Amino acid sequence: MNKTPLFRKSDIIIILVCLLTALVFFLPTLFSSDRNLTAVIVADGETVKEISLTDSTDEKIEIDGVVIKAQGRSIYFEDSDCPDRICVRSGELSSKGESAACVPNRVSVYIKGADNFDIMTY
Amino acid sequence: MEKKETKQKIVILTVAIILTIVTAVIFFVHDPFHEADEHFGYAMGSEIVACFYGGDNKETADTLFSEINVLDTDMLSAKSEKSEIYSLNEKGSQQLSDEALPYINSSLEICKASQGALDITIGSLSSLWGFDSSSDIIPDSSLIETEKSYCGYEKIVLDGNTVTLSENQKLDMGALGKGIACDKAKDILSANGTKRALISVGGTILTYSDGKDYYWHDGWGIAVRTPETDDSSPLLRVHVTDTKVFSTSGDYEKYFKKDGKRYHHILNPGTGYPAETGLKSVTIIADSGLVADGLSTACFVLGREKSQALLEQYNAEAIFVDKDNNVYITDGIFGDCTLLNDAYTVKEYE
Repeated sequence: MNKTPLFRKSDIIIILVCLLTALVFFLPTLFSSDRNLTAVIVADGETVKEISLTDSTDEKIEIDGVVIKAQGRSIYFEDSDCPDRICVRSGELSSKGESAACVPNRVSVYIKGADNFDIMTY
Repeated sequence: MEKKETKQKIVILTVAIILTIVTAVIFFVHDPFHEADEHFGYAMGSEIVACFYGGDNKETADTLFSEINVLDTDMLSAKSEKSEIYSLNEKGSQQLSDEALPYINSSLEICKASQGALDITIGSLSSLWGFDSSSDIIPDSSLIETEKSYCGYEKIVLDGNTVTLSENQKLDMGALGKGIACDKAKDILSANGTKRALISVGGTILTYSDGKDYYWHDGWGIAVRTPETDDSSPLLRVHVTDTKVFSTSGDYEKYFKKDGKRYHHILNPGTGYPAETGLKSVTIIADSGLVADGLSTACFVLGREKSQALLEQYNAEAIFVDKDNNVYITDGIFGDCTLLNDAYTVKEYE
């Protein structure tokens, strides 16, 4: 029986190149999905710390008169020496794009990257 | 037989090529590597966030922050001793700059159109309540009556650039400042050739587009905050592609509690007390920041039904959230909104 194979070597190379290219384009999209929450702490206009928020996160950051607590998949201003304490009243941030700021101390926190939305009006 | 195999081969090759093209397109449209270029500043007692898309924007961002700061300290602030408004409040009459005058004129037009629901002469009444200084005392009712009697935008006299207040009257541009800052930002972005940008001045948002189409940008999702004191998660998302300003007024931001009742910072100039119209928040979407900001306060004070004429007059869209967790969205943006909080219900707009 003299059956010619369905694909020649060159065809297989083309298919493999196509699949690999597709994978290369697809991987970053996959990794930028909603599962990763990263909180960014900004003091005086400069990013001072990025914290990955996972179920096991438990971290306390003291900076410029405020205490920021990252716990589990949320982050919040625990304490502040500012007079109005609006930052402390802002509560927990846990969705992408959410932010809170202590304006008198010029410290703010936001959750990076929002697949859901880009910015919030309040 | 051979024909069938050739057909199969073509199909498989085509599928592989299409797969590559589709993933490449998804990659370039969503561009996971392409993050916005973010800058942070502080002005008007608020945080300013500037997100640019494409290019190096440090210089534009710095210009933006310093110009907004100057707008506040030299023109609009009632507290900064070198500001035009401070001087006007002190002297009772003042010749305003050519830049400041149109802001006052446009603000007065909204005061008039809203029949005083927005009143920029509310200065001494709002200082009495002291929400900006975190006071938690309900002022004496006789004091409220006295301060209220000084309010009245219609008592302002304009003569060229000279603005004259009536006796004891004080201007407070607090309800409009962030919106005016967004208008200023729009001019700066346009002059600097910015393609796309997102600016937040303490929660009042400017979406900026230079009007051209770019394959890498299909607009923004702007979230409206859930209007609760203990929940700042997104309530809904509005998809927007062109230059607009979003302004929200809510009873959850500046407030104090006394005897189980919450007193918020949006005062009704007619009563002298915090506005009670059954609303938790109002978000306005308009072409102008001054209009968006002015209308969000005016509509909060007026309530949903009475706001319709004002919204139509200014060609603005609105999202009202009432105390029963109902969300009302005007027709022009209804199709662009997606509810994100299950505790709220979108209601038909009658």
